[in-house]
Amino acid sequence: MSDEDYSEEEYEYEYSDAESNAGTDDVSMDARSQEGEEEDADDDDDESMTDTNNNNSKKKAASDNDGNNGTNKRRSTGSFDSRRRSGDNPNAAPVGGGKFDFDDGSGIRMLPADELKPIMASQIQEATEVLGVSPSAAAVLMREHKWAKERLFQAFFDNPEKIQQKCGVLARCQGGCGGCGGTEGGGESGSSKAAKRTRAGTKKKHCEICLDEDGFDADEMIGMPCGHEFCETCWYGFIANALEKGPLCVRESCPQAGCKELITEEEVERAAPDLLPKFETYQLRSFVETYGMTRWCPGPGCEQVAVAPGSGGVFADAGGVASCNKCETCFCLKCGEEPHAPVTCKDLAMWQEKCRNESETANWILANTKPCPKCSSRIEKNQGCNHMTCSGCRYEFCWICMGNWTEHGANTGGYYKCNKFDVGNEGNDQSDAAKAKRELDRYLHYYKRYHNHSQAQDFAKKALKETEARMVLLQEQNTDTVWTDVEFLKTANEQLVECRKVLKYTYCYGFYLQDAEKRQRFEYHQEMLERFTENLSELSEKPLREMNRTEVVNQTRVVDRFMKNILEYVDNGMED
Amino acid sequence: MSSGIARGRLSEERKAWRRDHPFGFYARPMSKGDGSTNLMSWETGIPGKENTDWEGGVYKVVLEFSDEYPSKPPKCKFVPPLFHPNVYPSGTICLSILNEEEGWRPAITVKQMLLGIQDLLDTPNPNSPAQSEAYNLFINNKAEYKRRVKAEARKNTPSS
Repeated sequence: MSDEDYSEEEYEYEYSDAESNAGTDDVSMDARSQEGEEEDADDDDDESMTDTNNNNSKKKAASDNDGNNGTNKRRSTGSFDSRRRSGDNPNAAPVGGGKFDFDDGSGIRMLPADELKPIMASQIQEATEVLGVSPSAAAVLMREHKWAKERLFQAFFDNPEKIQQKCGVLARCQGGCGGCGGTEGGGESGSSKAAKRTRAGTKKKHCEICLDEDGFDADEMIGMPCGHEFCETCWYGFIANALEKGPLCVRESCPQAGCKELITEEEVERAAPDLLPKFETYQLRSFVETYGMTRWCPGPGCEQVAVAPGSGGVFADAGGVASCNKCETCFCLKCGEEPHAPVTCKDLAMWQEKCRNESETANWILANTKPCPKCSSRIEKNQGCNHMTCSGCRYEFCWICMGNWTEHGANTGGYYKCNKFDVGNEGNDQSDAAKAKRELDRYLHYYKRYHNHSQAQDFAKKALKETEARMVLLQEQNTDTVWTDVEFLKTANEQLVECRKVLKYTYCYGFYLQDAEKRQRFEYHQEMLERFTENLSELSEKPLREMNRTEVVNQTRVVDRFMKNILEYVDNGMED
Repeated sequence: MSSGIARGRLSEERKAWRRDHPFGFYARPMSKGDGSTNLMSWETGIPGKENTDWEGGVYKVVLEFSDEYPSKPPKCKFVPPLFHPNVYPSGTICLSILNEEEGWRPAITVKQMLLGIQDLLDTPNPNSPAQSEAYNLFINNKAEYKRRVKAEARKNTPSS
């Protein structure tokens, strides 16, 4: 995990109030987001900490901010990637021109979640040894630092107490025998244990949760390293309630008002041993989500985890497509979305956010049906190709521009207008309303085509399934056509799914592409891919006996070439 | 936490309060129509601190406990709703220690809650606005805000 990742995501996590005293009985009576302010203060601390660790951190942060401005992201990621390799020098030239540590899919392992446990354990083990604290404390420290161990170690050695307090393990670390680590039973200090033992015979203990009048014997109480004790029943209830909160339970702190010491598996084991497996599941889940080298398979109900190769701890941008060995879901290792080349994870997220915000407008405009331009019958598109024939009046038109199909096609070149957004003549009107309208039109232009390819991708997937089913059928029937005779169609269908997916994301990419010259060349590649994809789509949708096999095979190959072309073009920074 | 402990804890809270409570406060379970008391909902009064604009007023807060108390905090509400940046128009109080997702801990006592609310009166948190009227005045027009707080204190001065 790099420094950037850490500080960037810092805000999701709030640290415990650094000022508060773990042992205090007072409630910190700040109204809600005053805690927020403290958080900010903590963030500042962190930054200064980073500064001492690495005097380039400001520069790094700046370069990462550049990354926010759309298309620069790729370059900036490439450069910090190279920085890691070249000894943290931000001025080092990018190695390999924006290429990343690993290329498509290779080296990514898919493992069942359980197999991540040893990885997590070895990380905790290392921290235990290096920091000289108990494994439970080491686990908390690592988790609170998102498993960025170098960062944790450095911060810890600078000021162990500050880090321990911030992460809620101060008593756990200090209470033992002076940092020898591995104290049993949460490390209550020896003297307080003795004191309790002498009192135990004479005086009942008091539980601050149930306030039970009769009190409890010492062996009915369970204590935290911070010295706060509660009765077994209340402890069990407290832990059960914490687990109901879900993944956040791993950051639950002592039940005592105002106490910031975190509970760990040690307390769970003593107070609610039957709930320990559930607690450990949440710990593992938290590990997978914050480790930086791992991602859950997004397939519904799938519990496989993708593990990135290497040890850098940073996912390559737009690189790394994982393919689940259980549910066959393909996803981007970095963001977990469908593989989305050529667009970057960041731009994709922006695009999806925009689509969510504007979906109502877009949906209103893009109702599922369109009227035939000639006879106005409502038409629902149920095939992937854009060449439409109205079943009412036999008028042929293009689904995208609704223009006559005769104006489209290789001879006139007219069809290709359909993938370009024409700023048009109205570009002179500078009023806000006109600008807003132009911006909306521009968005709709891209969205319409994005959406269209997205639907076509679904159709292609359906067609692929049908072809596969047909192959199975032919295998069983053993008629004059054999299943290998339709294998070419399966390949074509697969190719179509891929192309539709890439085309879909080219519109998302195009929307954020600022450079007019680059856009022109990009659109040329897009146009080619689109043209041949439509062609293949049309060919492969014919009934099987009318299908020209050679033509489909050739077209599949051509389309594959064009798809690779456009991806390479973008990969190479759009230099021809 | 098993639903059993809510009542036990609340009756202990009641005893503890009777033994000792901060000056000027009151807190008691509400009585039902038939003369018995409902331990799960308390009527409390919080005095404004001395030397603040809230001084003189005693503000009525109703605490509604659920069976899940003390795993979950009670719902705390000014009745009637109070003019204050961190009080929702419904009267519900926005305070970290009363929020399960934030500062609530099972060991927070009724006394600590009420002292916390008293504290909030004169130290509103501008980062967590809950009503627009008080918030806007607090941010933009301190003089008018002060005047309204004093009016609120007069309105809530016990008649005795």
